[in-house]
Amino acid sequence: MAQPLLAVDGIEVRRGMNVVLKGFNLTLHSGEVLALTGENGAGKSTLLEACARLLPLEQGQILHSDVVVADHEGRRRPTPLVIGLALQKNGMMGSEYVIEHLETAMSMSGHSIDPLPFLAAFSMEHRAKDLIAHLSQGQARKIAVLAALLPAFASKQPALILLDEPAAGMDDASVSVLCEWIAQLRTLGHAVMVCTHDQRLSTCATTHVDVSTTKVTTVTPNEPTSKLETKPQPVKAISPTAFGWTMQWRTLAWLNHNAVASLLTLGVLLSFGDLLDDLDEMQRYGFLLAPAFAAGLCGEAMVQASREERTNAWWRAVANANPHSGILPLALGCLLTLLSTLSFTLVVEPSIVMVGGFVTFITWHTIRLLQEATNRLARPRAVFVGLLTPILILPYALLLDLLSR
Amino acid sequence: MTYLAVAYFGMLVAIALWTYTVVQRSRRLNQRLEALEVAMSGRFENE
Amino acid sequence: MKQKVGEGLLFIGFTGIASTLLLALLWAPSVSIDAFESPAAQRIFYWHVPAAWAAFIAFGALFIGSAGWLFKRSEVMWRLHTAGAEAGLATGLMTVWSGCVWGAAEWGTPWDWTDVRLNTFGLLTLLAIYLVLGRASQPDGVETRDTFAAFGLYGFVLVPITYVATRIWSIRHPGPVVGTGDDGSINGDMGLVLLVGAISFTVFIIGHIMNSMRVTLLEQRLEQLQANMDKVI
Repeated sequence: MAQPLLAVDGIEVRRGMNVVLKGFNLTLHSGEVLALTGENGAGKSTLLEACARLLPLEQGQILHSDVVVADHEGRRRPTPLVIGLALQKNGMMGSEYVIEHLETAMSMSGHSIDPLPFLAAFSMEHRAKDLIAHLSQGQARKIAVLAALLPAFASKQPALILLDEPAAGMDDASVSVLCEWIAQLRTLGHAVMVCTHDQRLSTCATTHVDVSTTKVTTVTPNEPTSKLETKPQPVKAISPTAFGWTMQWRTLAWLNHNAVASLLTLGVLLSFGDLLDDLDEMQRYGFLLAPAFAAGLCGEAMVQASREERTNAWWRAVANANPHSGILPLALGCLLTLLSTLSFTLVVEPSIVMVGGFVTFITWHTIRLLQEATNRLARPRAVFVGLLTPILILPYALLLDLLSR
Repeated sequence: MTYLAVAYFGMLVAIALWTYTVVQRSRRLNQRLEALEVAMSGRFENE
Repeated sequence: MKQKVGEGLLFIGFTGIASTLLLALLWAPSVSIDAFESPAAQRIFYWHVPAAWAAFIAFGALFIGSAGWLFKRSEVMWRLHTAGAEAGLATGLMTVWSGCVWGAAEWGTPWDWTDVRLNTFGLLTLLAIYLVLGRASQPDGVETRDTFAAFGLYGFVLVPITYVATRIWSIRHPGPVVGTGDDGSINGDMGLVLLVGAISFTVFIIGHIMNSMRVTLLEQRLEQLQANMDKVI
């Protein structure tokens, strides 16, 4: 038999204080569809998320195409497979466009196909250019499921598709279409794991696994009624940074989250009057660089934004990184420092402008790492990450000291 | 010296209050646990 | 039994701290006006230094507890982490606050953003506040424990930096006065009061840690009982 696309090797996973999975083993080969069943709380979603490398393992390891991608020692490697993922939350932000999200998902496979026929099959082609925020829950769910399936349809290598309750909120016609697509993906050599309570989806499976009892039943699945013809075109994968940039500019989150604080800082400093000539060198640099520093201390708006519908989890699973703004803080810091030097001195000092850019960049991304460290918490917004931001004040003060020498 | 004495006593009072809350938390939790254990054993006896 | 020992140590430590206060105010020798801007404020030294020492013990407990939870998944180590964070919060605030009072009198400013020791110690205190408040806002579980233990582990790197800061970077905060050989040794009577303070704070902080660990254990037992009750009802 061919090597398994997915191998779960003796994993133990906890949620809260409960051990949900213990010593669990599973393999999934190319051309198989595995339906995970079991009562609520049995561990279906936990198993699926562990396979997507979203949960830490207490014991065991997860392999994708014979490569250990996650183990109990905290090692996490990028997956060699094309992954299609639809969690119970949709994994997309309201500010994305429908067609944009589908193209982003497909780009992870390195190829792209025309998504319109798929949208038409879901009766959603008229919504292709809409924002996801404008869709109903059922419509958004269809897009999320499509975003999980399209990478596989576009891919030229076997893909691993993980679906958690994909039929939730879907009408019967859409569920039939979904079953047909899963059957087609199976014949194309992809592997699908689906958590479901829905009997209709169970008919697409080749194997049923009851997570509570670990009972495995092999069944004969429905065959697809038609053969799909697609023409994949090579495309470059859209990076988390590119996505972060797009979202920042579309929503102007950087303005609200960072620039306002910076401009307020500048305003307050300007209100002290014409003090600059009375200050020593270190204090002068402090005034000029304070707006850039303030912008960076506010951190990365994308961290909070991507918690919407667990978008960050989707990105971590398919692209191995959370969305962020890349070098936007460098540009913003330079701009703010330019504004500050012009406001105080009426003279452009390029070296100070560059230093300001780096101050914002380093500060911004340091705070981002602190923010991302709380992503696993049940209530990440309830912790005061701001209490840790003074970690950057000493380096800032030492920088000012260095500049003044 | 007066200010120093005031600062010192203030600190001592703060530590005393802190110590009191730590000890009280421990005692209150003990009481809740005992009450819960009694309630549970009472329930099992009735069943 | 453990409860009694913990409370006993707390009480003994507290008594010792109060004694240190009296000794510092009434018995410890005065310092020369040539050496200090504010000789009277120098007496805060007998509080500030032992509090900092106790804070190092607390942060050490935080580190050991964090590492023990992350690498061994030990329940006792998790309780040590929570106790270390709470003790670090108390002693850190004491150190920072007493330092600010002394600094305002001696340096004319309560704080110096360029001084490495001040800032790293302040950060440790903020870390302790973050951990205590953060834990209170989250349900208990591996996600919460892993996240905060990781912060506790990495934050500990600040402790050796704080300790050696005045040996390497002596900026505003004075250098070490004990354990440096011939230079920087202190007067006998001052050393005695400092020793009383150090022992008192050490006993106090050990009692505090023992009590806090017991409180965490009781909270866990309570949650377990409540979960059992939920299943029965």
